[in-house]
Amino acid sequence: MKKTKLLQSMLLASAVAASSLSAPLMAADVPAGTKLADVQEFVRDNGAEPGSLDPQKIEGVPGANIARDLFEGLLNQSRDGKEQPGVATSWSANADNTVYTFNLRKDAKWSNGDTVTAHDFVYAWQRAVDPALASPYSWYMEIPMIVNASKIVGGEAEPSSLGVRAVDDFTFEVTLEGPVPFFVKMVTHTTMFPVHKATVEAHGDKWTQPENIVTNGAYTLAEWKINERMELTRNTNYWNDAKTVINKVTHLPIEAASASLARYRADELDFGNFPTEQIKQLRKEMGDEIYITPKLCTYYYILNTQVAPYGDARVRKALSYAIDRDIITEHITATGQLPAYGLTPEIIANFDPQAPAYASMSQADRVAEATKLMAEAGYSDSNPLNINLLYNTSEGHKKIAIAISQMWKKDLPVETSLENQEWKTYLSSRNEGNFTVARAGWCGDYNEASTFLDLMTSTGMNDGKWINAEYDELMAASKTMSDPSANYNRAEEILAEEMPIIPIYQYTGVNLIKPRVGGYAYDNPEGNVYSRDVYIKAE
Amino acid sequence: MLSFIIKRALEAIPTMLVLTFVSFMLMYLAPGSPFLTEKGMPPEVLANINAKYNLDKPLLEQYIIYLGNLLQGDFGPSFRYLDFSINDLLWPGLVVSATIGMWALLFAVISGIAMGMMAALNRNKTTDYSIMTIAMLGIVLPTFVMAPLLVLLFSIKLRWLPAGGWNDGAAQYLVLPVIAVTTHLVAQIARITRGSLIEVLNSNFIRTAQAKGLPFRYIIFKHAFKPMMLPVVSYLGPVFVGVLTGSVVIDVYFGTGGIGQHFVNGAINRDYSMVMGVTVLLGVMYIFFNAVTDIVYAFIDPKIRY
Repeated sequence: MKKTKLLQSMLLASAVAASSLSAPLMAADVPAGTKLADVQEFVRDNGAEPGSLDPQKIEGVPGANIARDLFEGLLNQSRDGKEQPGVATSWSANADNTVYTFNLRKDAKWSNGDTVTAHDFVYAWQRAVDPALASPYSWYMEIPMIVNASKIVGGEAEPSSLGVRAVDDFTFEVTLEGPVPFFVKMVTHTTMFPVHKATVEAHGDKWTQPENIVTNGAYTLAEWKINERMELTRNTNYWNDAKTVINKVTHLPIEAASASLARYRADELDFGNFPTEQIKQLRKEMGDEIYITPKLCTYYYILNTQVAPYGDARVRKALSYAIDRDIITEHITATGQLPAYGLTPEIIANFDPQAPAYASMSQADRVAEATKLMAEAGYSDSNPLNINLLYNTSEGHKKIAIAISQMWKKDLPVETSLENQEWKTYLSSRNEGNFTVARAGWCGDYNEASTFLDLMTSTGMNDGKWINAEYDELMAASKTMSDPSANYNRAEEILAEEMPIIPIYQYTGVNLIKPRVGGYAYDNPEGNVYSRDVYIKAE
Repeated sequence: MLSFIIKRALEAIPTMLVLTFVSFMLMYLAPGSPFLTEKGMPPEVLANINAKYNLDKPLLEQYIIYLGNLLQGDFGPSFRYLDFSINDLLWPGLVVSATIGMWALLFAVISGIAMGMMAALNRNKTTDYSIMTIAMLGIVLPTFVMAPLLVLLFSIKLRWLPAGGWNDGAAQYLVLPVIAVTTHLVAQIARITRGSLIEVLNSNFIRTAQAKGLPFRYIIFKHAFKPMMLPVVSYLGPVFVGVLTGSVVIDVYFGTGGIGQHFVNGAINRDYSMVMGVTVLLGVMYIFFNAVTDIVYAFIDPKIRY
């Protein structure tokens, strides 16, 4: 292959992806001898109603789940989260990894029969940064440093000046301001999916309605009833339609886990959810239908470093050390979560986070160290630290907060009062710094450690206002390094030394999946599933 | 009567103005905003969004813009469902909830009045006690207990009816939500009817009718029925609006797509235009149905004249 030489010089991220070019293309891979059901319909609980189906406006998981069925970006993800050809069949980078060229397949079609071209991508990407569209995810285009993206979002340049270009109908070129190593990983995200220009321009905000929408994915939208259901039918113009098995996909926006479980039990869902506190009973009842998968998300407590005494690293570390994370993951969350001692989850791609030193200490040693640190910081039983612990109203967060406050009380001169606030009130308190210790959670936007570590830079969503110059420099430099692992490990080390946040556990996803479902992407770390990979076996 | 209706309509205007103004201001006082998320967003992105939705203008100006659009029947864009306007969301939701509500109410009025009358006419006998026991069960069992119990029995164990969904109001999707809503209503109406009929039967004009030797059936339906209905009608007025506009428990548990879910989610998500839309809709309906109740009074109570 002529590409081989080029590939060698390419970055790890894209190299891994490109090597999969020789692997079979994604679509439903039905093993020989499988008897398929006569009716190929897949009904899944999608958790909530999406805020939008417009790829450039989508900001949540429910919307992204549906967009992956309706649209196809330059690249897709394999079941285990690696990049695979999508509309682009191959891609390459120039010598300094700032100009990426994607070669598009010529047989990719929109659901109305039009050909998918590089111009569609140019239009969509310019749209994503256009202040007139005001996409809540426009920042996503700024992360890979696409030329002028930040200026356009900031209103200082025209959308047409974005560093994207259709070299010809089937060659799409992206120019970056620096060699961002994980750029290729980012193009599997909905924000970078193409849209059909004529349709968007003809219908404005209403272009995603079933009667208007034109899609380029395996499915098209047949029905959208808010808070009830969304029905997708096969897009017969999809280039790989011959390998799609499921004829109809129904996404149900079921908010209550108990309702999801009831409908799963009534056999109305193939893929459902359940209240995690019922796990013990469900394990007995339908253990082989429960799937627990690690997620790219971390649960942690933020300490407001602007408020005394949380500016004192000794206090922060003492509070962290005194938490026995094993008790929380084994007895409270109890659905396969891993204790977290750093910010980046262990399943992250291309980076193997080194566990900080305190992770390998015994809990007794950690408590001894914590006791010492608190004494040094001037706290004693006669002068205890009073903590107000803020969390958003939820039974799960409450249980964890109670356990942690007990751990603190038992071993340290600490008295904790719990405060719960309704979601937006809580967000506003965090945002405005009206807290001392607050619960938080973060999920990766793409499978690369910077989506976590950037959080703690002085310009990140760092609600505790912790500032560390070395950390900022490490993260800024890592952006354009071909292997930033050393920087990431040093950044995690600083977090462990300074403890501006207290990592608690790494999330898991828990779901129920009927045994009749085949081809489900259980191992995708971002939980990205394409319905076209799925098939229903005969029962 | 006509002047009464006109008077009521004119009174509604300042009421609605105060209602929209107060709720608009209260809503903005609540902490948080529609586009505040845990993920957060860079200030320049937030600025673009605020500009698009007029959120960067002074509050009073925003209110005037809102009022101007409202007068043209435009409830504005949703801040939570970016592909929809509030008009697109409110009406389909209202249709779903009103369908469930109408059936539930119809069933509740017929069976509730029948049960209440049977109980009153068999006062302190076994029939009375058993009817009132059932009614008490209906009152103490809240919808969020009722709904899962119904689903457990009819959807999971017996597999007779779907556990959720709406499918454009197909009959089998209606049954469980209607039962879940109606139980409480039947019970309330039965209790009110019973109490009311017992009181009416003790009044002088009934004794007079009995003294005249009128047949008992004639006394009940000709003389006692109308006055018995007075407390039932005053109960139904506000209940009517509540039932038509649905219940968040029903909508979330059965996934019907009714308007009740918008009430609660609108507030949780700080979807300002949704909260306003729902407030305006509810306000108009309350004013309308209170007026209707007053008019119905005039028909059943000869002492009331407008």
